[in-house]
Amino acid sequence: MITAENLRKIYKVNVKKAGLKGAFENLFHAQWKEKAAVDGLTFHMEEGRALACIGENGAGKSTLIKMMIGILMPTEGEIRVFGQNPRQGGRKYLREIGVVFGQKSNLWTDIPVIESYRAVKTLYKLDEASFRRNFDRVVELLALEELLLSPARKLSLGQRMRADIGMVFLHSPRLLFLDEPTIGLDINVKHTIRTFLRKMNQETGTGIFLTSHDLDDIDEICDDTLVISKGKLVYDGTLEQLKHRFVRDKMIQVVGSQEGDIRRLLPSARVTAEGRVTKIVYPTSEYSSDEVISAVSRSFHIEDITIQEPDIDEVVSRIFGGEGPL
Amino acid sequence: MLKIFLKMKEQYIKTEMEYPANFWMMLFSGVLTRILGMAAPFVIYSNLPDIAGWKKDEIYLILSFLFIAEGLCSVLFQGIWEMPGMVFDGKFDCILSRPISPLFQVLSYGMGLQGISVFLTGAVCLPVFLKRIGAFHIAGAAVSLFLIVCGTLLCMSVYLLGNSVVFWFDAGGRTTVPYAMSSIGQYAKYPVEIYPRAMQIVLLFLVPYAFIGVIPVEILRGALSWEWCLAPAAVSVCFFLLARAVFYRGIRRYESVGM
Repeated sequence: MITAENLRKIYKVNVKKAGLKGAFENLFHAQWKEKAAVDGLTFHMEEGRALACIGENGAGKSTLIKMMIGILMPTEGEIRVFGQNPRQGGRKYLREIGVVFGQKSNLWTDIPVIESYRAVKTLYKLDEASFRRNFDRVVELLALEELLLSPARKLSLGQRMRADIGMVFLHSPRLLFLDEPTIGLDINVKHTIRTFLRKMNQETGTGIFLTSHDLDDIDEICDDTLVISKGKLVYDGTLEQLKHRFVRDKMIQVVGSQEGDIRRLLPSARVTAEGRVTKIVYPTSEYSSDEVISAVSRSFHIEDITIQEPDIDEVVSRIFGGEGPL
Repeated sequence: MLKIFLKMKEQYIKTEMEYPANFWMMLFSGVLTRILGMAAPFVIYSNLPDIAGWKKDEIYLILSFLFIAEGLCSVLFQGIWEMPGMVFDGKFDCILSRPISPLFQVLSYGMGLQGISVFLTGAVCLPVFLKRIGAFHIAGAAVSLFLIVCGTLLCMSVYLLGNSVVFWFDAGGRTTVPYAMSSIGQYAKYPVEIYPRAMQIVLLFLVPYAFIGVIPVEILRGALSWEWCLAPAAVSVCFFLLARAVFYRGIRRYESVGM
């Protein structure tokens, strides 16, 4: 559904010198520097998938989204969505996609939410039946009933975001672009939005391309991940594999009395004991889960055992922390 | 399309009316400033019998035409003035991601309340001065109406052209170009013949405000024949096409904000 080939976007940035003197100099001969926001991306996304694009601030995520919508023109390379160039798809293309920017609202600020929704109905030329169906669905799933009559500017951030996300589904888009949809929201709203997006993706087959800093977004909504750093692709694959490749240590927590010496059985593991709770952190390269479990069962009288899933936060900070490309 | 446009405007007017004090202040101050604006010709004419063959009432008629065009532009197309801000803070992204013409969205955005009073001042003065110069008949009214439509379109196109410059030179969400154009336009209150040649060319072809007020009055007072009505129409259509082309050119340069 989306294919990008060697996509690049270069901005010209005005280089200013500091101070008033610098400002004066800039008036007469401005200096420009080229900065590549997206630097040679190649990837592919299938119809109906949910894909998350992760990257540090300024990695080029928003630029990428804007090129896919057709707001920005790529400097080089090619981007195709539904087999065509978004810039040339025109209104027909825009009618098939939906866009939510976490930082900006698509709602008309001064009018009640319901009026914005009705405006969408007219603007997208939706027939009454399908509008009703989508409308009822988003109102129910996002609990919008109470805020339909307030003007968008009076909504709290969480309410506004729910209203924004609901609005984007009214015209049954084939593909959604969400740029940091949960930024600044409290945990409840985040949860509502994530569940909703996941449900819509699975039930209606709407493709989702989202960028986020919040790794739980990705965990709960998406199947695939794209990791971008400084405009370059660092990883492209499923979330599971990403965790796998980056997780070098796993942790097992055991509650119970120790009967044998676990340190002798697993010499490379780090073992810390605190009362009846023992934590064992072991490198996945040296021991298989099998070995570890059998070692643990031989040396403990186990009352409770938990194997901790690798934390994606850690994975990503490791990627950006300079442990290098995969 | 028109339905949406009117609906949007209706919403904005409702919003403005939520603050009644502000609403009446705007209305009042708008009328007051325009009336004061009419004082200048009054002072001039109490000292001079005529300017380049123009009578006082004819000057007032020019002003009426200008007020109506400016007022309508402000009420209907205020969004043009909001555009530079939207480009600066990236709100223009939303406009580009909806499947409706960006130009339509810009035009339908927002509402200039002070425009109502400017328009009203003009609309009250127009028939009065039409009568005084003896053009208060059906033909005169029809011609005036036609010329008002042309003038409003022209006024809108000039604003659009000026504000589209923001795509090239963005100075923090505003650009001085439209303001410069608008203040040059202020000189179109008086017949162009009183100005030096260079200024005449500016008012006729660069910021062609002369076609909003001066030329219509020339036609109505009989100094130009009726066929001249086509001139403001042609100029406004040309200017609109030009402004539209520049606007769309600008969108191609739009860089949005953030990475």
